[in-house]
Amino acid sequence: MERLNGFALLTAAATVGLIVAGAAVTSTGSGDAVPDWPLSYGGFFPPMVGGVLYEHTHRLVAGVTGLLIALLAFWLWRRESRPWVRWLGLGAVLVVLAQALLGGLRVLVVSDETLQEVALNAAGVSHVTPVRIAFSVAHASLAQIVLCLTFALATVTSPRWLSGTGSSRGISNRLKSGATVLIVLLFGQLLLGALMRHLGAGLVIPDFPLSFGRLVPPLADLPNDPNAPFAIADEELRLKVLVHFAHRVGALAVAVAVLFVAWPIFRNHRDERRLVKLAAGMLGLTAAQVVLGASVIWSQKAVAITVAHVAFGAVLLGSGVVLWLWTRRLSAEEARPSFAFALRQTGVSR
Amino acid sequence: MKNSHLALFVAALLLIAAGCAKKEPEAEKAPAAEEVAAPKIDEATAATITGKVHFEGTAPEMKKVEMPTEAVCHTKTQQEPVHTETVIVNDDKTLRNVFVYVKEGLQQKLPAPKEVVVFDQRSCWYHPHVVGIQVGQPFKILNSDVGVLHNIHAVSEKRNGFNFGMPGKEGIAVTREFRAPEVMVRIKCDVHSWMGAYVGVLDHPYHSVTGPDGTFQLKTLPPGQYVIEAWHERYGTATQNVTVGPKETKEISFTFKG
Repeated sequence: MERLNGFALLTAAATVGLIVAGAAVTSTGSGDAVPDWPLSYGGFFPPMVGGVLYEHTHRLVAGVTGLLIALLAFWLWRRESRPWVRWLGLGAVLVVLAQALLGGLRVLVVSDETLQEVALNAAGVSHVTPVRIAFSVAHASLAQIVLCLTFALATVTSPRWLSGTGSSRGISNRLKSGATVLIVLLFGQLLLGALMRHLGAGLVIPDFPLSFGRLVPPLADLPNDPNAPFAIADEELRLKVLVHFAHRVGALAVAVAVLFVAWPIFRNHRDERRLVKLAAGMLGLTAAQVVLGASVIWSQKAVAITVAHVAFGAVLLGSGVVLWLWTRRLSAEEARPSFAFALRQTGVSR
Repeated sequence: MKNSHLALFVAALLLIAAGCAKKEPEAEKAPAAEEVAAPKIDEATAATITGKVHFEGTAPEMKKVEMPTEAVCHTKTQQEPVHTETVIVNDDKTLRNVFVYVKEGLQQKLPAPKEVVVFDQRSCWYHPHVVGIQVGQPFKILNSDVGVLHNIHAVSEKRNGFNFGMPGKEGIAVTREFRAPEVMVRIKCDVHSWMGAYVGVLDHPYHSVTGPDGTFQLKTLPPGQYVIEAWHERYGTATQNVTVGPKETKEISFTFKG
């Protein structure tokens, strides 16, 4: 099983690579550099120049990651005794397929007139921008779910998980609930980030840490120039500012949640090294994320910084999933001697 | 539709999920060129609005464009440097690449002219940088960069968007039409991020782009009251109300401040 776990870890690392490649596409504005899909300019190897380099690399990384996930699922199906783990592997395959399809639709809805017509009629909108944004956000969000699934598979196939040894003092309900809330907050935060990115609202609040020089942006009195070259309506600007500001508030909420979860671990579970390492790692990632988020604004969305911000956010979410799993695993162990019964009840068994 | 664009996004998310189907708003549909009435320009009474677009202040320095990712074009720019065309101030302090057009006041729609508007991709650069066109008028896109792959992506908030690849084959050309009035449609190449241009799409022929002398001319206008708008990609828009009588030529000017 160690080889299987190694492969699961490789797959999880590949999903991080996939998110980095996707973030590079968005950050360089290369999403439409290859107008066809699934082929690229009618073939597998278009000239790798400019935006094509980013977009086609993303497709290649996606292909390799998808293949790894499919192989992992096949391996699990053949060798894994726990049905829920087998199904988790299969679920990852289905999600990554849906993810690929959404990526393709995101491209084709801009370039394929027939599909565009169908999508516009289905959505009841008059132009492609809202549909493109919807596909982009769904594509980005599903990528995070793929990452969560691969992180989970790498965790539950690990020797430590399988050995089931732990000397932890009681995992409090507060910690377990905190871990759940943390995942929800992290996912919501990444969704807001994706929405902000694809709405083009990344720099709509131009300063940091203040917003238009205030703690809360003046939503009723936003600086909107009606004579700008591409003027937007006040309500559109307001929505963009709201999404951007919500992302900032979300960052604060995530930081508080990470502290809320890390504190009881450092205080009560110092002997549980895996939890301590995870909590310390998440604190470090959160601090780095705040600095990176600020640097995105200060650098006017420098590509490397923006990509790093997206990647760190994804790893933070994945770490949250791992932490959540371990809090469940350790609390199931505590339930001994009725351990086996508890595992059956929670579904979190060996 | 710009005003409701983000609200529609939320609706789009919900409606796509539900698989609902709704008709697009009729107002967004562009009239086909064949459907509009025949031209009724009375040459005997036609008026002209002419003028200049001035620039005040210090002209920003336009950056030299580097094309490191495309060897063919990179070599050319080493021989003949290219600078961004965002702000070009002429020697007489007039401003180039300003799109001037009749925004309001026309009482009749005019059919699209047959005259082809040519838009070329040459040395990884768009020619022209700003151009006007009428709904339904042929827009002929060339790729003069033999051996260079471009994609040509029209970014629109109406139904004017398209995106397709144009490999650099000798003599390649694609002709498209725009469907709805829109000032402006942005054209970009996602392969070469430095390439950008603007197309002003109207349902009439009264438009002009300022050149090396900063002048514009709107000819054969029916007498009447008009709102004339000048659009610039950096400095935005400015409008003026102008009334012209039969056979009258009125001179106006716009000033953008840097």
